[in-house]
Amino acid sequence: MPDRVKFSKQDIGGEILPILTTGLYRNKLDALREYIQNSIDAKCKKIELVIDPDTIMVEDDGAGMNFDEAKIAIKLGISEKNPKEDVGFRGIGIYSAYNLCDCLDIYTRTESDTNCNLIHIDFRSARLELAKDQERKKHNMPTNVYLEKLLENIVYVDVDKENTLTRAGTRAIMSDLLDEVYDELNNWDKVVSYLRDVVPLPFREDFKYASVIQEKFKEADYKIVPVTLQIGNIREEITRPYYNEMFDHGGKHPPEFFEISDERQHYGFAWVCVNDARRVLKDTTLRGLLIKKFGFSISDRNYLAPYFARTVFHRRITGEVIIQNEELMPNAARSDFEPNSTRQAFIRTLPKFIGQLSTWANQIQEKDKAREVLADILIVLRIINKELPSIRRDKERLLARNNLLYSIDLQLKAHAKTLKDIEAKDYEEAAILLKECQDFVKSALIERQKDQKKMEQRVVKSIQREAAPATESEKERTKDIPKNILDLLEIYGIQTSEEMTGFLKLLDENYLRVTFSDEEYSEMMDNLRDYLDEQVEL
Amino acid sequence: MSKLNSSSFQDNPNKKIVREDWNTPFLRYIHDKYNIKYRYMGFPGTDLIDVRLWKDMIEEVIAFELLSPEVDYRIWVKQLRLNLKKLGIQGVAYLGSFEEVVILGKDYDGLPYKQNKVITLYNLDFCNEIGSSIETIDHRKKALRYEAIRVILRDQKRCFQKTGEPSYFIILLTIRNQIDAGKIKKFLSSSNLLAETSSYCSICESINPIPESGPLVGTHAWSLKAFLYDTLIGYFKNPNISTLFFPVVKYYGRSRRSPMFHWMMFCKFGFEESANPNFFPARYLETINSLCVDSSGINIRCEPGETENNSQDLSPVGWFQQFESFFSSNGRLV
Repeated sequence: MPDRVKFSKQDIGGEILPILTTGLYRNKLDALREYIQNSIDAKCKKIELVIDPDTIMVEDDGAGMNFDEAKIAIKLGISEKNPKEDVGFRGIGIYSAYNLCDCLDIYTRTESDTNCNLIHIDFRSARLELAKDQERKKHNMPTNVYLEKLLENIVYVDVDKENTLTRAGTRAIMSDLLDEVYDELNNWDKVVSYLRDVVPLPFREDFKYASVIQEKFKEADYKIVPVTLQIGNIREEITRPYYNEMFDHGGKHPPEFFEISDERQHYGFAWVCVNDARRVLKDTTLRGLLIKKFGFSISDRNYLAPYFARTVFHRRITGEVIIQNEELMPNAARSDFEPNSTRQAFIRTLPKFIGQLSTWANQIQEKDKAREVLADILIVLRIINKELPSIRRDKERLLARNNLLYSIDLQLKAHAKTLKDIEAKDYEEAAILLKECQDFVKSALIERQKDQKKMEQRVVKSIQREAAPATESEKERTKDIPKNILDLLEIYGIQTSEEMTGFLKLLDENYLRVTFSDEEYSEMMDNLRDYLDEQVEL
Repeated sequence: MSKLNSSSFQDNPNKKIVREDWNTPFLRYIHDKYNIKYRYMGFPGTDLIDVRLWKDMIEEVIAFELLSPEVDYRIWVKQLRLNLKKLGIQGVAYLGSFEEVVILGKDYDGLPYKQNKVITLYNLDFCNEIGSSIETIDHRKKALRYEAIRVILRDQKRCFQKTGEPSYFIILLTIRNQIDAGKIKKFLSSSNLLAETSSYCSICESINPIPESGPLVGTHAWSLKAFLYDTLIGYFKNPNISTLFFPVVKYYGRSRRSPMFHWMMFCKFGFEESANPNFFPARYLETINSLCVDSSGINIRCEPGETENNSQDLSPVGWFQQFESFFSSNGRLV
């Protein structure tokens, strides 16, 4: 049997503190996350985060800590929190500000406390002690900064004599911020973006589906925490990033909720919104689904993209997958879940979930497409319907409209089933209009066919006339080419009343001459002459 | 335990009397009667003495802190920010005098300053000579210190027009009675002076004339009062702000060389239809309006030209109540 090695206090060096904090909290903003986590675990109703060039304050109205709990909170790597219920459970978070500031003061009290309690950590002294120790090592002197001794020197818990907090809650103040964190912490967009990834924030009040989604959150016992952020003199309530204008038409489709589970366990649920046009979402930062656990984002919105059979759907939707399964725990880097059998089972359910989601999105977008087609068809049909009388005599244009109406007919038939269900009234209007237009074009084309025949007959006659000597009446007709209707009537000796003459003159000058080309007008005169000739013959 | 022990503000018994016996009763009267909380802007010092005193009446603090003479010139502002957070009052602290920050739109660290809400309580100290110009951060812009008052009144009007409320604010203004004789003489002989200022000055000048040159340190208080009154009224007229001037309170600070003047003013935004603001009392300079703080408290001390009348009410609430009906109706400040 191997010899067991006994460890003493002198076997754990003080350097373990920066190693742990630097290793776990690579982003300077991670300290904010840790104190916010504590607030959430304390079941707070709201959090206030105030950042200025010199100090950071995280304040909550949660349960707070009594004196004994405060003493437990300063323990390193020891936590009484339950990993299944609480976000922070590793017992290190309180030291996360090591790389952020010189001094941490946490004022806290519970409802039953008569005094406020103060946890004080002097990170600056710790850094100085460790720097001195490094110097000693360079001179081959043994280390004399052990973790236990270091913590004893820099941390204390006391009753706050000033009784800073007068109600239950916790106020963490990080003062004398290190110079290197200034820019990052004073960048509003960066801090907001970070908070959105780590805090279960509410939705914007003007996001039209905020209440329905938050209602689902309530049912599922998924808590959201309002956070007020102040940086310098800018102060705002921070919200989730969704907004109505991210959809092409302001968001016509309410969100759909999906339960994610298999026959053995439940993993969570998802809320999904699909764009209300058959296009990808304009805002690239919101395309796809984000997986969240306790408010933390796991990886990014591309995590689920490979599970989409048609990847375009991944870009047309937005939403979140809220993980509630206790065994699914984010890894330290929040890039995935801790590897375990539950994670494997969860991954196996994803194709089914994404399949359901894609089917739903496809149906919605099919309906959208049918609606879009119908709207376009109605516009085109109304234009054609208005235009047809004016092109009645234009064979070329009639033929073009005939082709267009044929293609519209095909499109309408393709979506008929869907449209009869969702837009029956408009569909009926389109069908009637289509029929009217088709009938009109058909009859006009028949007329044009007759005209064509008459024209052909006239050409034949004309050729015959040219071949044979002209008769007296023909000679007469050629001589008397009428200039207008009144002229024509005069040639045929037809007398009209004064009013009728005036009317015919008006009709001729203001309508016929204006509407028809010279060629058409002359053709019309010929037709009238043919008619009058027939009448004379009769 | 904090490693920072320095404080940017040294209190003294006379200032304490002004704060507790003159300012506080009036602020509490307005707070209690009209159920309002103040949005405070001022120079509270690292110990936040006035903010602590009025904590229950204040909802937000916009503070200014000067550069510390110590090696770490930011030590005071750091302490101020820390104390503000400990106190749990929403607020922001700028590094630099309020005149510099307000006029330049940024503080010494480059933190942008932009007012976006009506400030309801100003507590402003002009520790330097009021007629001196500002040595700006970027050395590009030169402005007289009291120009900052013009800027804050302009910002106040803009915020009021944007939000529509609140329609009133209070200014507590402390000024060192120290000014160059030549400068003040030139100002008071200007033809642009208001009729009431001219009339007051001619009476005072005949009793207590200003020398041709040299600094006026703690003497000829009437001239500084006339100068400030004339300047302030000019500033209030442009954005149409009606104002009640409280009696000016003179007290000695740490130095016995030059007394301080403390002005309290209650201001109300005018409506567009009444373009001419009202100023109360109408004959402010000539009626009794100077008080003096000594070990016995606040007492009447007339300036040359003022009417002596010991029966006047020395309580700030009583002073306000004489004109209250103009500023309020139906239990609301309008």
